[in-house]
Amino acid sequence: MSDSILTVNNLSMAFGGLIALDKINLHVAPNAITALIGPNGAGKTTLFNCLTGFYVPTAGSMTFKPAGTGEVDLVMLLGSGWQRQDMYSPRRCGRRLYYKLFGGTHQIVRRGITRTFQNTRLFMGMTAMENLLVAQHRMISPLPLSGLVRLPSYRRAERSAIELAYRYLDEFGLGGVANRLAKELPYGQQKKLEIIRALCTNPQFLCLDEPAAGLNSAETKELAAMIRNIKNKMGVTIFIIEHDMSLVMPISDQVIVLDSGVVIAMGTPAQVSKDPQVLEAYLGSDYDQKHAGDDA
Amino acid sequence: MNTNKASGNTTTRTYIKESLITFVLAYVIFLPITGLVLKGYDYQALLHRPLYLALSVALLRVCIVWLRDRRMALPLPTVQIPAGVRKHKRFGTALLFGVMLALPFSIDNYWLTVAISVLIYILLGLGLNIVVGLAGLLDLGFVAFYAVGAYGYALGSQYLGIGFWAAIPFVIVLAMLCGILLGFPVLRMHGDYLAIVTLGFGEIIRLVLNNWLDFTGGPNGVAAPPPTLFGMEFAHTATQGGRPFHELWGLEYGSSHRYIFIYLLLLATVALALLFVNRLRQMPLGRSWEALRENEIACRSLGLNHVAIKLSAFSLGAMIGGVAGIFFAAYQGFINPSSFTFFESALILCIVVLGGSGSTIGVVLAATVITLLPEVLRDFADFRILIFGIVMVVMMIWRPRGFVTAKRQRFER
Amino acid sequence: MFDIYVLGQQVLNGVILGSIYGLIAVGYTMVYGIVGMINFAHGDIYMISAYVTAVALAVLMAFGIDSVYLALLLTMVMAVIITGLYGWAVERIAYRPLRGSHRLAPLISAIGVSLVLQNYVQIGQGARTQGIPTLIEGSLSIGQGDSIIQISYTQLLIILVAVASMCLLTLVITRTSLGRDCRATQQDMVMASILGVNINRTIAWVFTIGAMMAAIAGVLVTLNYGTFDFYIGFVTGIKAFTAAVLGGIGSLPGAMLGGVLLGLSESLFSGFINTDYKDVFAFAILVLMLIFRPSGLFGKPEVDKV
Repeated sequence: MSDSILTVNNLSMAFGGLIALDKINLHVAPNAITALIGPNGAGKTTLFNCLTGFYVPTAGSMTFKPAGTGEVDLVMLLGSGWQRQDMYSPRRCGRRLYYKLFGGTHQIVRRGITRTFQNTRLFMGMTAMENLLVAQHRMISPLPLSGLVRLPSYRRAERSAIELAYRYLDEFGLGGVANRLAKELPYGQQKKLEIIRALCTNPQFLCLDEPAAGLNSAETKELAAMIRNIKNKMGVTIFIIEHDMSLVMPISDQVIVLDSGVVIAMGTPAQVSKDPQVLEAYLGSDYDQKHAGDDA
Repeated sequence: MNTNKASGNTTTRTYIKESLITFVLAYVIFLPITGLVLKGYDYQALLHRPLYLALSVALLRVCIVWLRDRRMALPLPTVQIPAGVRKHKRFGTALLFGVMLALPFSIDNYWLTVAISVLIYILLGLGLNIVVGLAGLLDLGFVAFYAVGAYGYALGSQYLGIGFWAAIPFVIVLAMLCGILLGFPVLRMHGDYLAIVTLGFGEIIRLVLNNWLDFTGGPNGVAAPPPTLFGMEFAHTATQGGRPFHELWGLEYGSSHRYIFIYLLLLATVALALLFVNRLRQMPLGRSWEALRENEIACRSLGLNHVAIKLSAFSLGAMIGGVAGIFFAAYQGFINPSSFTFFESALILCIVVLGGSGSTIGVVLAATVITLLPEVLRDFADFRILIFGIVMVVMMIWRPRGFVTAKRQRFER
Repeated sequence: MFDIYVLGQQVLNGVILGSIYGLIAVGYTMVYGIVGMINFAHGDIYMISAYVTAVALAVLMAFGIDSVYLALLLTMVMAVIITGLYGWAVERIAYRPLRGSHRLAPLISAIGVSLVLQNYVQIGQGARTQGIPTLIEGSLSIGQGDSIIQISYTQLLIILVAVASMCLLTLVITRTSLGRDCRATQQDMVMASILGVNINRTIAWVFTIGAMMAAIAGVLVTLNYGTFDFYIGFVTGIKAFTAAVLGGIGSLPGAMLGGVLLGLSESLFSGFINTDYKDVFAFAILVLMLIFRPSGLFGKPEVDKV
């Protein structure tokens, strides 16, 4: 399992007495599409929120290992997860303290994990291009002063950010709406724009939270092609929550099934869809009959 | 009484009923405050006043029903900058700047002070615009930074002996620190609660200035030294040694010299602030402020450090407010806590709201209108606050986004 | 020197002050619970009530009503009705058209209303401080000599009326169909309207009831202190809001309890520590509460929903 890009160990998340995630263990393979499925309230979005730093997990660890660099302890980036052995090393102590003060979601995004949201969260009053430029803020200007006096280096960085944004927009067919306000775009384009915006942070690991919700079947097909495209051309690992099985099953390399805060199955789509526990817990006890009907 | 949704069939009877009910209610409401005026423990009946008021309210009500009945919305004026002006933007700006430069030499002292307060309010509006208009953080205690600037200068010169020019960096640092100090505790807050906390901070600062007699002089205030130019004073005779400005240049002494100097300096500062804010808006920092206003959670998901963004908005806004405070103190020559009440915060907020949240040109226009209006309508001076209040309410109903819509930057390939 | 009687007197004053804060806080807490906005103009509604009280008393005296208790009763009724109308009118004119607008709009509009009401009263009645004659004289005292606790009959009246009106309000909210509509609207406005609750009417009533409670507070304060001006609403309003936050905004018993707590601590602070800074003290409590315990002293902290 050393080749997984994300390893989650005994991760738990509790809200007061409510246990949303109960000692989750899972691995996500690099350069692949992994789907996270499960009934409503299974804890899928909670897991995403932990992964991307919106929640600080109650216990457990999340380790991110992108290609070419060492392992990153995501819980530490959130300024949490203090361990006993940290006391004996000043360096680790200092690191903990640093992230306690300056840690947070942005540290996780910097390491290459980005997400989208179930209910689209665009900057509605800003144009599509501005949405993408906000995502590229780190690429444009390390120093605010260079932008105030418009140094050539600043202009070059800004130019290349705009070009990158246009490249992505063209790639996914939104080149024409770059200067339109996000709130004026049709829903399907908003969904796409949110994914493109996430791509603009230059991620290695992209979490998509129900990207197909509210899309019609043609748009869903287009979305599937887009997700494949992102994985193949850009080498981004994709972790996707989705209810639409017609989207998930064909494109995923690996499926993880979550139910009531516990991982109940993990494997290829074919394996998972035959797993009796999954059939019972997730797809309902009458699945066999329906499935038999589908085959005929 | 207004659930009359059926269109086009409002009969005369309905109109009469509507206006009668409105009239009676309005009369009852207006009567005790405007009709029966207290005189000691007795009262004086001025029954015509509520009558006129109620009549006009009833009339207004009929007009609104009539408009609604015809499904007519009130026309929405938006200040559209004509294409011609936009084309010759640089030329226009230069022309305007030239006129503003020449202005102090052609008006008397009184109007000069009015022009100075216009510029001070522009500066304050620009500062608050960063916090409210761009970052979307409703700050009702902005006057605190104004007070920090003014008192920083006055007390700084009294206790530390710093002059006008040294006060500028001193106050900038002080105000930014105060902005950060205020920003830290309110990081997790949104909307209404943030507004009330900032209001609380603003009032606390004013009350402390008012009560700490030994340090601030309390309600009696404190004197602020007039500004100097390379050590030259704008007084009749130099008090701090050296020669005053008019002697050095062989000019007749004029009391307007000091005001002209402050005006010109202020004009340069406003120009600089405008440039600063406009550049910032097109930079990652400014865009992050707007992104924060639009959706904080999405901001965080993109790796923006929302703590740093909020603090930067607070501190840069505070910086501009503080600088405005120095100029206020320098031109008044004397300050006391009564200049820094909640009303002042509301007024600056009114400027930002009226101007269209986020638009710098809107802020400039609104500040000019709001400062000049009471001067033009001198007869209605008593009604000034009333008019501001009504404007705020009507604006929220009619054009919640202000008169000038901020133009979005366009990006070509 | 510490004196148990001084302490007792301060506690008594605090409770009286606190019950006034509590009565006004009810308006903040009910409005916040239902429409989720801070009715910034609520303090000025209370100020209006003080003026209505004085005007009503003056008129009643001119009409030759000699009985103090009858005059008081009529004044109370008039103040409650007219101030209630003010509350209703403010909601109707300045807040109802904003429902569904962006989130800062109602607050900015409320600030506008607050400015309008202050300036309107200032123009209508003049800027000077107004007053009413002392109506109820005499007091009860406990103890003797220097060590006594005094409670005037007016103060006794304040406590009685405050408790009675809170009980009445609780009855209205828990027992009547209007109260049921209020509670339903507070839970889920959309669902309540689908089920046939008249949302506009309910919200109008909430504002009116809030204003009526503030009116009672206005009458009581005017009777107790005798003087007032057009600016009293601002500071008292913020303090009452602080009381609402202390008790957990949205909760009725919380508002009353928060009022008493704030009144007590303010009275003890000004009695034993410093009188000049008592407003700073109240504001500081407000700021600290909103920063550290925005859900009130007894509420549970909320989790940010992503």
